[in-house]
Amino acid sequence: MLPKALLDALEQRTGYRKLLSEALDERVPGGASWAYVLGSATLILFLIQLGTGLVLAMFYSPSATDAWASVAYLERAVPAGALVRGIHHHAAGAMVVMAGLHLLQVVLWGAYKAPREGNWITGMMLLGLVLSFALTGYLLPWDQTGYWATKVATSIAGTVPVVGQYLQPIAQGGNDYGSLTLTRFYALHVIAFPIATLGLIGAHMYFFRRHGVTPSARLSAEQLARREESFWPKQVLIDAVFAAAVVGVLIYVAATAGAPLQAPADPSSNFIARPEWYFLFLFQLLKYFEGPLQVVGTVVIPGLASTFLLALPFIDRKPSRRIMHRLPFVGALAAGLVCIGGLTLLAVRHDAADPTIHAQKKVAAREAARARELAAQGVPPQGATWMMANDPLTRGERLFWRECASCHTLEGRAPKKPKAPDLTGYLSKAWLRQVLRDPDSHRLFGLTKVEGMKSFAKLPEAELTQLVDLLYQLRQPDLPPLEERPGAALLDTHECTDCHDFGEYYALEGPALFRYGSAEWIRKVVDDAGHEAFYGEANDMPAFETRLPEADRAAAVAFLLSLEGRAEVGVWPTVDDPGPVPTPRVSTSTAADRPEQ
Amino acid sequence: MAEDRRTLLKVLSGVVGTSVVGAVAAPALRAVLAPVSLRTVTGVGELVPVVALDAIPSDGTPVNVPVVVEAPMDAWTRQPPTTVGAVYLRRTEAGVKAWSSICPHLGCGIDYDAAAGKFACPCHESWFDTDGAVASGPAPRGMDALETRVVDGMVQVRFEKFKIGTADKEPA
Ligand code: FES
Repeated sequence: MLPKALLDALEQRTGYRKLLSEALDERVPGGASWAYVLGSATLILFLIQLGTGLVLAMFYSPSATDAWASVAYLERAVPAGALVRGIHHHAAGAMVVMAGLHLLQVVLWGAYKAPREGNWITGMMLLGLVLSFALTGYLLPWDQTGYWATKVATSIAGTVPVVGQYLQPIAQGGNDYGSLTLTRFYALHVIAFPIATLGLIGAHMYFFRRHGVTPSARLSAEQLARREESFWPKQVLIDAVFAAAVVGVLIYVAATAGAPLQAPADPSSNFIARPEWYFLFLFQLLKYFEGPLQVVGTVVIPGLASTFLLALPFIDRKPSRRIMHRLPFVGALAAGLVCIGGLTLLAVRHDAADPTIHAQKKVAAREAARARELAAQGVPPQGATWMMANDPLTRGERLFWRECASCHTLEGRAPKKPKAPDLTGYLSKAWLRQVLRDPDSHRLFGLTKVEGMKSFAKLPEAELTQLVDLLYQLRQPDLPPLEERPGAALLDTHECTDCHDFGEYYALEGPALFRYGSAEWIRKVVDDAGHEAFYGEANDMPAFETRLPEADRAAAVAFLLSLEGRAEVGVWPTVDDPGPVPTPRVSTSTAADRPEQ
Repeated sequence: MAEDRRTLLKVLSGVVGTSVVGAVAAPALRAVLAPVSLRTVTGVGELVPVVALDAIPSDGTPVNVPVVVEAPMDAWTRQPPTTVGAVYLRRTEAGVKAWSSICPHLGCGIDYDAAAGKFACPCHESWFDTDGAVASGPAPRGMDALETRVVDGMVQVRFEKFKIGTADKEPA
């Protein structure tokens, strides 16, 4: 403790004791209670946001080239950076929850009623700010989810009748998304909204102090007076304990789950973006209004609901705070909550049941991981989006989904009518083994006009493995000549060499297997699979030589080479093929029509 | 009794409140203080490989080589390779020596005059011996020697800039 003389001197100069007693000796009718913790918890979360936000701002750069890279740097290189960002991210969600519960309690207890209209209106404005913080903050990392989800939100501004065409450019800071969108959102998020929030919190607290807490309507005036006590210390302790619990959970979640960071925003991609969970119901609502009715979902319904909420104390004027006397209002709110809950559930269920979304999520996760891996080596001045677009693996994968996925299945994502071999784990030993065992299967060349290779399914396991190893080695440079390699005689024994040339790119009955599986071999097939040294007449694949620029083809090869190392290789059976027994085919179409297993 | 209880509540409030603040403030401070141990900017002032040792004449003739910093990092950004300056390298009894090609007089680029066997600054005719000392002219000090090291047959130089126009070699 400071010596009394010092405190006295301080008192004389500042009058802090009066201030403190103003703040702490507030009378609480009915006594301290756990019922009053929600407002203070929301306030404490806001203070946490101010603190962690300040730290984030020290490491953040609001420009379209740098934003993602700066966030990735904070996550990767700055000690406790990921934790601080995790706290900031999850505290935003916690604030929505706390403010929502606070609102709910105020409605249930009838605490919005006269003379507390001021508390109610400032509270509603604060809730609006909490949501605005969440919306603007979501964009700042400039990653795929932030970019695409926020784009939906600003496009909504464009659907507002008459003024929409002006609102949208104002909201996004230009005619399209770019650096000026970021600077605008950043300025709002870190300057305008915090100042507005602090001001409104001041007003909210002023009204709160003026009218006091709203105790439970069940307590009589006599009970309230008897149990009355001061705010300090018991209510403070209760608030602190609750805050400690909230913060404990918050830090735990932040430390274990962290904050998500998807791949850098890519305006040319078709990312399926979802907003944060607390906006999902609004997002779901959009689905029910099409065409000219769109504005109903985007503006009319949310607008009416907010207006109703804001006007609640003026509509519900009866002085009684008992729920039974306010059934229509409490009922309306309950109905609103059920709608919000139901819409959220529908949105979640819809996504959970959609295989395309699952597949996209997998791709997104892989791109996010790849982006961070690349960023660890430093992001070029052109920015993270450029970095990803020029990464052969990423570029190759995007090309695959654009150019190849209409015929080839990959990792469970099948085209409507598969017309070419499944490339899951392409050229891995598991894949080669499957080709040897069942080349004409409905998942491999059975889908194409390529035919005539015999099945090695009946071969003893050891011999099959040896053949697979031989084929697998063909891609390695500087191998001794075929004849000198162990087991090479098998290629003759099994008549592989009758149809395949192993010594040069030369046309025999089947595709040349010279340097089979090497980047060079794959590149030749990508360039022109119909070349006579490969699939010739039986080929249906476009010659990409004339279709794609050089860099794209190189990227495609890099991607195809990487498939072997991906986790999904395991889909190929190691012992038995669960697929149908290969049967002589009548035509390719029957093969393609067979259902995917 | 009631007073004791109040005191206990006060102390508890203090403890719980402080731990809440501490739990959030600790990681926040850790991040803010990160620059103490974090190398955020790299490239400048580091030893960078400039040329193979074999490429330097064994007869002691100086060669001029550019200093290219491969990929300086500024936080998350990797800059493209940049030429930050040029140095003269010369074999001596005591190993490879390096001098900045920046003239200490007013900062022009120094030439090597093979015929005279001396360094010459074309701007105001300062001449330097092959060991960098001023031979004649207005230069206030000799050419600025730089730290070198040979690693795996490559000569590395720590390229630094010094104040121009002073008699003493002070970091710029
Ligand atoms: S700058 Fe070199 S002599 Fe003046």
